[in-house]
Amino acid sequence: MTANGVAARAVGAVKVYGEGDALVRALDGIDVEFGSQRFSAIMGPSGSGKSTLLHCLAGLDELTDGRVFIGDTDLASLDDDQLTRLRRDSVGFVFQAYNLVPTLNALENITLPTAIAGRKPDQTWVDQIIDTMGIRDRLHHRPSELSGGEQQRVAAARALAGRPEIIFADEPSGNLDSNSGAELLGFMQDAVRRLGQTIVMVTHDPAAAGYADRVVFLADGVVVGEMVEPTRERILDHIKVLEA
Amino acid sequence: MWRATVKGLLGHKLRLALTALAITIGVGFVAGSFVFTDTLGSVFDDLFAGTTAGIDVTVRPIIETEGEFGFSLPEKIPASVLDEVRAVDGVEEATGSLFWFVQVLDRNGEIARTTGPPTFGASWADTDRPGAFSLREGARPTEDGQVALDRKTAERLGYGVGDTVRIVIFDGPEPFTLVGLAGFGEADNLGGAGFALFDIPTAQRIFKAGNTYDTIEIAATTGVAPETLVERLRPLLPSGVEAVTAQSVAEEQATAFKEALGFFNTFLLVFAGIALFVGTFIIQNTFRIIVAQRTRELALFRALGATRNQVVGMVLTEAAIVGVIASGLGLIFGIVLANVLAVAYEAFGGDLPEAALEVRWRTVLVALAVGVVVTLVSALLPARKAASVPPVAAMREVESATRRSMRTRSVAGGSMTLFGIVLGVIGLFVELPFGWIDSIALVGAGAAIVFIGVAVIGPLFTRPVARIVGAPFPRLLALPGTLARENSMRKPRRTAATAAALMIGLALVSLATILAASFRGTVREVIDETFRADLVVSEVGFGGIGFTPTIADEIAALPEVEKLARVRFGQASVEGDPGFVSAVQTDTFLDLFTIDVITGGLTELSSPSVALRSARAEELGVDVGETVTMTFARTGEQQLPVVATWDGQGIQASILISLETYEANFVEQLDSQVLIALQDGVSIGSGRVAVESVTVPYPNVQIQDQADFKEQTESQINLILSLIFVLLLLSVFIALLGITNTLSLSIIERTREIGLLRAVGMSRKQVRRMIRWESVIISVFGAVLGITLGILFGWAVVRALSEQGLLFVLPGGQLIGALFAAGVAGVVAAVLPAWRASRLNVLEAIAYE
Repeated sequence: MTANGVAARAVGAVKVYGEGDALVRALDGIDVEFGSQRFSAIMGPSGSGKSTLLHCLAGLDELTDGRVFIGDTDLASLDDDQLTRLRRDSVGFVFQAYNLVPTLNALENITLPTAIAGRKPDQTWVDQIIDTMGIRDRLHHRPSELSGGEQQRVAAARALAGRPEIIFADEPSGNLDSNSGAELLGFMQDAVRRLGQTIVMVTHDPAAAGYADRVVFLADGVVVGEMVEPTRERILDHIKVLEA
Repeated sequence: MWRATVKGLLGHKLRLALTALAITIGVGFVAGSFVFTDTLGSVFDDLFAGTTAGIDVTVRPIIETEGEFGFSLPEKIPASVLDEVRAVDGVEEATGSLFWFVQVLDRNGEIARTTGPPTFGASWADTDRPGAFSLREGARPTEDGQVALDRKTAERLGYGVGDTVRIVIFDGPEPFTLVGLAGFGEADNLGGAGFALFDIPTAQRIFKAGNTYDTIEIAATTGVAPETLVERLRPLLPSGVEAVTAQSVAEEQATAFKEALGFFNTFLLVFAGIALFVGTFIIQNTFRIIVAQRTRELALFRALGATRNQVVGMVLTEAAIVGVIASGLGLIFGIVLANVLAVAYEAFGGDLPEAALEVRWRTVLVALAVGVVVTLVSALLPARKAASVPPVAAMREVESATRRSMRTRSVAGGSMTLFGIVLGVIGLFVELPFGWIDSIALVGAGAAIVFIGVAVIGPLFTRPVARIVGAPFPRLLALPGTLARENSMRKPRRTAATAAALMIGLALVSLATILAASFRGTVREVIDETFRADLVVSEVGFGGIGFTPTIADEIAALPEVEKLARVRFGQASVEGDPGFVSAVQTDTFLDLFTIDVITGGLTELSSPSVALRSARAEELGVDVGETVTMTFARTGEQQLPVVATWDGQGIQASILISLETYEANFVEQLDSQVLIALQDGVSIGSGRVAVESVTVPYPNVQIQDQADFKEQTESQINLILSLIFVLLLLSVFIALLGITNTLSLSIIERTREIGLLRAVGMSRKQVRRMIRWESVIISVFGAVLGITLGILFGWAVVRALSEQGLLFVLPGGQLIGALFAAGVAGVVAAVLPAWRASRLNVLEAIAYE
């Protein structure tokens, strides 16, 4: 882990969908870096390319042109097996919903990536995360027995459990009520500040982005601005400026 | 609604294709059986009609006993009768003809065929009238030392006109010059049976017929009706000889043949029925899953105002369309299958003339009806379930996990199982007034109901069995193993329904295996107990000819031989009921063979008398000291005293007589077996060498010791077993399609979950492993249920047959092998779904809606 270095970066990232008239440039030449041990947010309106950027950074999707790096690794140089291993060992994910395997209980879901790798989880670390996420008393429940907020916290715990270089979160609070959402984002913030983790989160919700250390604004596939130490109000002001 | 139905169908192309395949295979089997037997039937109609070509009336001995393969032919017709017949007004031409079994040797001097249809020897009259046989090449045999063969046999053995062919009749091989190749009507042989043709004097000589004939064939003068001629001939004929129109002879033959064909057809249809039965499980399961997956869509229809009946109609229409398409394809597949059967028939030596396969309207209708009805019936329950989807389900985020109580299920399934068992037990153990066919039908119905019952309660076993089978998975296979086990327990009903299909096939496979093992074990036991001869000389291949008694005479003269016992075989009626008779040499037989004499004694058998199997004596209600009426083909009714009753295995006949009685009442005097005891100190090996020196000129006989005997019966049992296996394989294959189908459908349901697993780092290989081992659990589950049922069925059947001395043998190794094979089959069934799952596009899988 490169302390205070760059956890992930995109260089001239271009992603094109479709052909001819239906051609869409989801990413239109993006250069961006996300620092280690930071909580970064990517914001932008629908169709701005924020989810595409996240997917490409995480190795779930391929760029049409340009390069993306996790740490010093150029993802374009990896085949499917290597990408899979990278996702397993170096990347964590929190999706908007359906984060958990229904046949496994909360604890098994948390240790899923290490189990896939056939390794034993680092018990002290996992305990620390479980407490950070406040789910100690829910560990032996199956996902269907957990509330939406609890499910997302378990998902976040799973993303953290393998001590990945970087965690990508796609609208993690998108399906939650505001209280549960705030709780989850607070826990994620703790994970970065107290446990030194790295999170990149895509959101369209200024309140959510307010938990981040830094916000990158996208529109039409290009970076249109960024803000350090954001708050909900500053973000709303900035959006007004952008839309003006 | 029609549009929506069709759209729905097109939306599930692949899922339905696999379902349709189950129907197609079953229907194909049905159609194939019909097409093949219809084709064979009409070929033989023509063929038997051909035997009467140019013949109007046949004079033949009245056959008192129903000879199945023509054992113990009746007394022949003296040549004088032929002269008298020729003098009758209205007889244009009359020829005598003769007939017996022969064996043609191949170029190595071996019997050309030891299994399958026999080869007939017959006379070929020197006349220009058209007859049954037609010359294809060369000339007719016109003098001694000449023979014509059917073209098929000649081709198979590589003989051409001019070659020397050695033929075994009674006295060992005799060389003949092949002068011509013949056909039987249009065909190159007679339904697989070959024939060797001789001129009349030669036939009389080699068949030891003297100046007699087996039948007289008569052509009527133009204008004289066959019936009239029959009337005119009747007063002339000696007793025991009759005149019948050639047409009724042909009809008799065709009827007998068609009965056999009908039996064959039924046999094939039983397996087709099993395949379709297995198919219903799969269709039902597929429709159930599809309905579950379309819950929201169906609810939307309901919310938009569709009635319950319209929803039922939608699902059933979908089923009907699938049924029609699949049955249509099944019909085509059936025709292909019939072609395969025809090729196999030719490969086994039969010859089908250049006739197209006969596809009757009946076949088309039956195939379509069977396919559509089976599909509709299978879709009925899922359709009702579809109708019960409430409109509000359209708004629900996730499908509501309706956990219906297992109690109704276990009561319903349990009582069905019990009912099936009761039916089976009645069929097996209670003597029914309507005969054994109905007993078998009852047992079959009972078994089917047990299968359904167990399938209904199957979900109760899913979790325990999956937990046990999957117990080592987490340790051996790590996380994919855990997930495989959990996934298999996720929808107990789905897993159980899928496994049930395989259960049926495996139950029948284990039943067949157990019965075969029990027969094998019983035969071994019987041979050990009864077989006290060191060596047995018997006929090679098709029985019923016997061999010349001079062989036994020569063996008896060998210094190595202590004693021997001849056994002859024939058919006769007792109290009007036809059956088999064994004739034994009374002074030595009991030293060489063990039977239990219950009452009386066998030594008295040497005077004209019979000894009855005790069960037969009981049936007839006779005791030692009373007399029975025996009817022999040659001597007619004879009153014979019963001197003994006996029991024992190893003798097929239920009536024993002495050689002397046999000689007095049967035409042919040929041995069918010679039991030999060697002198003390002579090893089996050297005894065999000595006996061989006698039998070398007779390729139609073989020498066997106890071990050979066992091996021979075992190989016969194994042959039947493998035939049944091949036919059951189809059901197992359909069941595997079911597993593939269920897994594919489950994977579609779990797309997002698999996407998630891939996203968090599960490799393609691990995904495949997860699916593969889930499949193994399902198939092993099915196999466990099936083998358990198979053992119970097998035990019951053996119990029912225990009166016939059958012992229950549990072939543990083979059954474990079947279980293992089922596991491997599970791996195979998972190949496609596993591959598809591992190729899922991760991004699409996790994308929201």
